[in-house]
Amino acid sequence: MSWRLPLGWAPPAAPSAPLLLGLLCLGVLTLATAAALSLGDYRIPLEALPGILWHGGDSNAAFVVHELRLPRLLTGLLAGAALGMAGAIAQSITRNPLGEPGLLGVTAGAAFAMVLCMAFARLSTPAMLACGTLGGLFAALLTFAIGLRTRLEPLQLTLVGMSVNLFFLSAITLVLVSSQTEANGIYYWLSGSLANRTWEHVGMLWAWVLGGLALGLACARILDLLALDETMLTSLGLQVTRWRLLLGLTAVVLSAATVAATGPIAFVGLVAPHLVRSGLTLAGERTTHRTLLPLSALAGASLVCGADLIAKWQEIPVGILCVLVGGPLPVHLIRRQGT
Amino acid sequence: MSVRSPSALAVPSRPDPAPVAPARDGFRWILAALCLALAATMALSLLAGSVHLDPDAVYQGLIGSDPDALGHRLVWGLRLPRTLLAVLVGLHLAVSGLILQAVIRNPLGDPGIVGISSGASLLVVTVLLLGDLLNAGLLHNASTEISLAWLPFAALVGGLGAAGLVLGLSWGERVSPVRLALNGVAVGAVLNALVMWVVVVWGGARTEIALIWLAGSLYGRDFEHLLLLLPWTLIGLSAAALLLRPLSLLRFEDETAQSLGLPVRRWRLIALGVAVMLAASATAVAGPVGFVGLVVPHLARRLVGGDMGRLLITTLLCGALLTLGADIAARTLTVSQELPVGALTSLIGIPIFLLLLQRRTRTHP
Amino acid sequence: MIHPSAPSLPALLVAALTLGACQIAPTWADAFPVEILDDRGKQVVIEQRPESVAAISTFGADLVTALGGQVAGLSTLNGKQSAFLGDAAAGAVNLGEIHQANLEVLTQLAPDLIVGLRTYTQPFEKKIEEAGTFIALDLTTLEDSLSAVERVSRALGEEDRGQALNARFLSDLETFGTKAPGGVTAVLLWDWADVPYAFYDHYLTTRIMGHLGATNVQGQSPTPELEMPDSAAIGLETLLRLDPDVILVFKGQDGPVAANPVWSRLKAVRNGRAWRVNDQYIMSHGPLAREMVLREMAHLLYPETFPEPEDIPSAARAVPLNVAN
Repeated sequence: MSWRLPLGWAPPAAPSAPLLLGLLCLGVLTLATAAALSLGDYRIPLEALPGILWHGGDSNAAFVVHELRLPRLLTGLLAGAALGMAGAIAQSITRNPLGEPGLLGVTAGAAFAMVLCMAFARLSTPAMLACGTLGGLFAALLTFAIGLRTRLEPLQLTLVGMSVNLFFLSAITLVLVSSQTEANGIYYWLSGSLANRTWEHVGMLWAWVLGGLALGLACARILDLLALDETMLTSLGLQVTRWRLLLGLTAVVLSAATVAATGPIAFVGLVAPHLVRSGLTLAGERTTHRTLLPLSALAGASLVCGADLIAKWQEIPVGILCVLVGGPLPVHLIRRQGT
Repeated sequence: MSVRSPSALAVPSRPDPAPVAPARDGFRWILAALCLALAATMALSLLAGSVHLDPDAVYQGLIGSDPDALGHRLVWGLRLPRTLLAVLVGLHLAVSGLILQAVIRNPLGDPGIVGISSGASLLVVTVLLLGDLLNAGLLHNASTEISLAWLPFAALVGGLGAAGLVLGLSWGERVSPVRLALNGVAVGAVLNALVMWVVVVWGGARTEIALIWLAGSLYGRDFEHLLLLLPWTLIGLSAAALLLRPLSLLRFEDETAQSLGLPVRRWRLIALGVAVMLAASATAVAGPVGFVGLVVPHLARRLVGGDMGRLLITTLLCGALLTLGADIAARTLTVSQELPVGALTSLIGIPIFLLLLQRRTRTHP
Repeated sequence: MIHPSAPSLPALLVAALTLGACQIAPTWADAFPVEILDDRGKQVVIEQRPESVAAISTFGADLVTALGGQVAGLSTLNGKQSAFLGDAAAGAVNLGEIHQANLEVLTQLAPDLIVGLRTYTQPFEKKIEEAGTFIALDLTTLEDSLSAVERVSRALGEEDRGQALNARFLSDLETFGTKAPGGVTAVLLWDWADVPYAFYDHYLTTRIMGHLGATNVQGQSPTPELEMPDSAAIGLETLLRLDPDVILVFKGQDGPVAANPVWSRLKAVRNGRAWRVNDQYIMSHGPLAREMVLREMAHLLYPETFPEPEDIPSAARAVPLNVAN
């Protein structure tokens, strides 16, 4: 039961791969942050940024930084981190390299709840976000409830999850077509966008994300174990199903909250952990969840923030860009697995 | 493509491990019941609509010779082409799903999974939303212009292209069914993102039309769509009938099938080709009508067991029945506006699928 | 602010008046069959004066009402028929949503003439033509509006009155334009969930805005040779930078615009010059709608110069924009 963890205390002679990877992600994030805060309709020189950030001011530039750019950046950051981590957890508990919370029905469930709110109810932003999160949770519970009969066997669970996902997707279509609302606006939201996010979105996301990160890190060792053979686990006395459920719910809540705040941003949860894994494998490092989870969160955040820069420049929803970037990865993975 | 190699003919005659097929008489009853149900639903489809017509008016409209009678105009102009088209589309998708499930040995075998729906969708939104832009930008001197009459052809080309891409990506040393399914999901996701991009940026006033097409709909379809589909139906169904024996072998592990004398790779390719052709042509006229191809073969298997011949006929009838029923509901359920039939088939199909899945895992833990 | 490829207003006015004068030839009354080139590029033949007209777009109902008639069937947008028509279309059969007209009801109605928009109807044109003679129109610019009014009124056997409507609008446009003090910036937004869309200069409503001496901050389309797109997403940051004096917002559904602190910082909102306008602003091409838009917008842009118009149904009038938070 003793796992040797490469990161944390004894500083090695050469910088370790996780450290390098982490620094790389942080570098990307810093660049993205600087660009996101200084570029736009109001050009703000980099050296003026700290002053504006600390002291604010009454100028339009300061207002834009505080009320538009900062919330958008932080929403992207938190969403990316949540998605990256949720993806890493989902892949481990389903023991499926293509696992993603979206495959548990979360994305479509949350989106359905949000679309219902947009089409039929007038709710304040926090109430709507809460609704979305509950919707995602509900869809995931549905998946689990049906999958529980198969003792959460990975393939069956994926199958059920995909069906639940498709079910809610067609329900969304029905609402879109039959409700007396502007389909265009809801469709824009459905493609996943960070445009015009406010502090309300950040306020709603951060608690979930930090809580999820902490819980995930606390359970890192369990996650390492869950990757082992099932019979071995039972003989070790581990209550596999219970842990799977708990961790699965963590991943679900993380991604449901994200969908509620940003709309469905797909493939980040798939791509981020894989990037980290292949980075670590390249360096000959053993992958443990102690390093995998925080690095996936960092990588996810960098991906979303980077993509959002391009999205902002062209006003294309960021979710679309993420799929275009992330989509080819599974194809590549499958290729590599085949050979 | 229907030439059967001698080795395939040499297959032992009863290779099927049919899980306790019902007795022949039972099958006959089921067949009769399904045919009756289909006929009744078709009649209902002619009778139902947002304009009320009494049965006599519908009958007079159907056989009468007065082209100006309301019954004649409603039945021949709107209800009959739609009814026939729903039957054909359902049949296409269901048979395509049956073949796919046999070939990739995966219960999730749906025509959508090999990328057909998303490929078709991409080309359709391109023609629908970018047509005017392209005409003015690139083709303003060209003799031809992009026209909306191309929509079905564009969808067909898109569907075939995407399916070709997915198959090409999965065609390695040996085709692994799982690889095929996963590639299909990935390619589908990327294509769908492109679709969303086109709709979000260039949708404008046509967003609603695009959405309805993307959800699968039979609104405003005509006999010309039917004529477009019919040749594919004939080719596809005869090919499927000729494929019966190889198909029942393809369900086994490759080694077993090989040892039974089947050139697995070749037949798999042919079967996939037929499935893709059936589904792509149906998608071309109706848009992606979801889950018919997934659910109906499962349903048919529960009804008549594993014999391929029986399965084919049952699947065909059930597919037509499901799609037609969903289409009737789509245009009569809501008063203000009709719903896309594809969204309805998914909503009906998915719970059935989950139920079947659960039952299966309970009986074979 | 005039679209670069568009002819100038005086030229249009002269053209309309000459055309109108030519039409006083005595043959017009029995001019049927009439041949109209619609915007699909199709020669539509109208055999005799249409008795019943179905409108799969507000434009048709607007024109028929302006000509003193009654439209037999009318479509809806987001489940509603245009409020600016008042009771004029109250007796009309509901044809369903504009993008998916109910074909069975349309077939039963069997109108002599159907007027619709090309964007929504073209994929299903065959079915619509089976229900009745069909004219499909592109309606974006001022020229589109003038030519559509001219052609459809000719199809209705009211060519001279159509010409008169056009001439009157053009002269009103000129009168209001000369009277307008100018020096105002404005924007016309179509509010969709998270991101508002702003109309370019060449759209009829923004063109009227331009004639009234106001500067549309969204400016020209990047592809001025095309009518589409007529609008594009505008970021709230951009809106804040441009900070127009007057903001006109159309929103398809009830409720306030999406909550965002930017709104309350905008000059127009703070000065009470942000208005929620009705659907005649985005379907402004009919004779009634464009007159109402001209008169109301003149008042909204220059409340001191132009009094509030009295003849707009109360449900169709602009109301102060309701900003959440």
